[in-house]
Amino acid sequence: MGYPNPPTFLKDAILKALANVVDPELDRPITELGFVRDVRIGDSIEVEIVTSTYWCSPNFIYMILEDARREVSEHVRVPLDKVRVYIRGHFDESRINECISKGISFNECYKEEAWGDLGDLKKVFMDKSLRSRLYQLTVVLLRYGLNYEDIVNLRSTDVIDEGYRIVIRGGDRILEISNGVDINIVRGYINTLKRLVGDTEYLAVWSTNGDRPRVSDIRDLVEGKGRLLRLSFNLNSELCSLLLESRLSRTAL
Amino acid sequence: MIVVETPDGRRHEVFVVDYHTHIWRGDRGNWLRPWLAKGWVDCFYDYHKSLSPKEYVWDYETFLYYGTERFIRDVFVDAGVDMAVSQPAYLQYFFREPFGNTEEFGKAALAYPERFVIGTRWDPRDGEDGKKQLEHDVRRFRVRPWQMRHVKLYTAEWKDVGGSLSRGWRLDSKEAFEFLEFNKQLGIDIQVPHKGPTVWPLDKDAFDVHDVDDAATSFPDLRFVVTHIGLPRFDDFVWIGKQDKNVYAGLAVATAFIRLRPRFFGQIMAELLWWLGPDKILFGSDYALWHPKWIIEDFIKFELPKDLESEYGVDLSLEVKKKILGENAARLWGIDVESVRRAQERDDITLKYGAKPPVIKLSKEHVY
Repeated sequence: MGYPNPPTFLKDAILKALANVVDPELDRPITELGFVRDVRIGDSIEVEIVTSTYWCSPNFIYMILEDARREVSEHVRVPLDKVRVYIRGHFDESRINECISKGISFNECYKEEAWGDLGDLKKVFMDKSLRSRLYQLTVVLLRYGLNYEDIVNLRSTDVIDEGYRIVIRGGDRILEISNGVDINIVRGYINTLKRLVGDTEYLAVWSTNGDRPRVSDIRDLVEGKGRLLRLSFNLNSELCSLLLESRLSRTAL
Repeated sequence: MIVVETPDGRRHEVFVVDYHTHIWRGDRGNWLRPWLAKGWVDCFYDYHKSLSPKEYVWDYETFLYYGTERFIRDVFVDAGVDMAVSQPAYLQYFFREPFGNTEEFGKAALAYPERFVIGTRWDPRDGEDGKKQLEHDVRRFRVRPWQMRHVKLYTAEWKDVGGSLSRGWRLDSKEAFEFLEFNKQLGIDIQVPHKGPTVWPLDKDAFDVHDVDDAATSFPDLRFVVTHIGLPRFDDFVWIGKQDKNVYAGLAVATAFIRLRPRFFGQIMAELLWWLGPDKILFGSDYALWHPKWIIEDFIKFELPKDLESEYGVDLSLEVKKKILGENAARLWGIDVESVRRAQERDDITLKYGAKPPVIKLSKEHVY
């Protein structure tokens, strides 16, 4: 590395990589949330992260920093030890930053206070994220005339994204979705599915294990559970944005 | 009390209980570990600043400590709150004297037991000493049936245990269950759990409310007011609130959305009314995080957006608002509203401070 004047494309590539990092509690990319405060490029890449409060849970911060480090390393193709991602203005920042830079696991970092790694915890939130988007997808597809059974049985290859419209073969029908909001919902679900699970045979997926939902599962989502999940994510995200704005308006963190 | 005047000329008296208020000690002289204490107060201040209307934003120094006098004027005189309930978090690893200032709130409760409703807290790591303190608190403050009926349970309290730092406890632990049992003996039948970050063990979700579910199921005689509607786990809380008949929704923090984010507030209310019903929701301002005056005024005038009303099939009528603002809490704490009103008419807060019911007028455009 060692660019005297780092090219814009490199910074853009780093920010693009960071856009793949989602705050698990808020279900939004850290770049949209304003958590990425600085990106510096020298002998190594340095990314400074700030969260909405001094008290954010170390476990979720750890997930964000680990993901950010890995994403930057993979997308910009630099070794992990040349990527430093750190948190500022957090009660446990020295410990977290040291552990992240050494690449050690959360469990090793917090061995007196943690029993296991963060995999199970992360999965809970990834499943919630997937289901909240499956709820949105289902509502759209019901509106276009599919029934619950049609939706559960849709295959991923039944969906063709043509850019300006999405065509879906469902049941014995062919649907054309050309409304921008609906297109974004369908695309948002598919992108989330790819990010969290990968390529799947069926479109409707219930958990990050790749399980399919039952008809009663998606009916429950539509009848209340999904709406609640989506609201919960949105509330958390809104509150964090407001708090961060207030926090940054103070001079010192 | 507040009075709501409707366009038909009727005057509706509304009894108001704010289930979540503080007189805290955030002043610099009380900072034991300054970086932690400041981190705590700064975070509170960001909550205050980000959701309050501009004219209600305090300067930082006032926010650190405001005392009983200011509390009386803001909460009882200006806002028209009838009874204010304390919810103290002690945070003794951060502050020299408890941040949740039981000493000062307690004096006020002894002087005005029909206005200030005191509860303290417990921590299972305090063991027998904690139980003795709790007994002492009941003896000292149970001057009316509604006093010392509740405790705030802050599960992310940091504590030095035998020279090492413990950063929290769980409500479903054996030690916590012993305290819950002890609460029953003392007549402390309302538990107000509040989740905070960094609760032990750290690889689990600090805000997970499922331990409340376990405790509520195991102690059906006790009532659990989950404060801040379980945020940031609103979805999980709602399920617990629906399943456990003894779990209530405490609106502190949620109410502050009403001015700047009314759509979110509407969605929260619609969800709570749909899942829990109107009898298990309690109004709270979290004063001095937010001033109850503007929240109450906005709440009285608030209408659920039509699309939410039809989507959820719920309504937020004046009758429902009266339940949320005071009737539900009065029932929960066993408050005799008529006797309280009679006592309030003769107390200093009426006679000396001049408290009288603010009048909120609804126009013809308002639906009530």
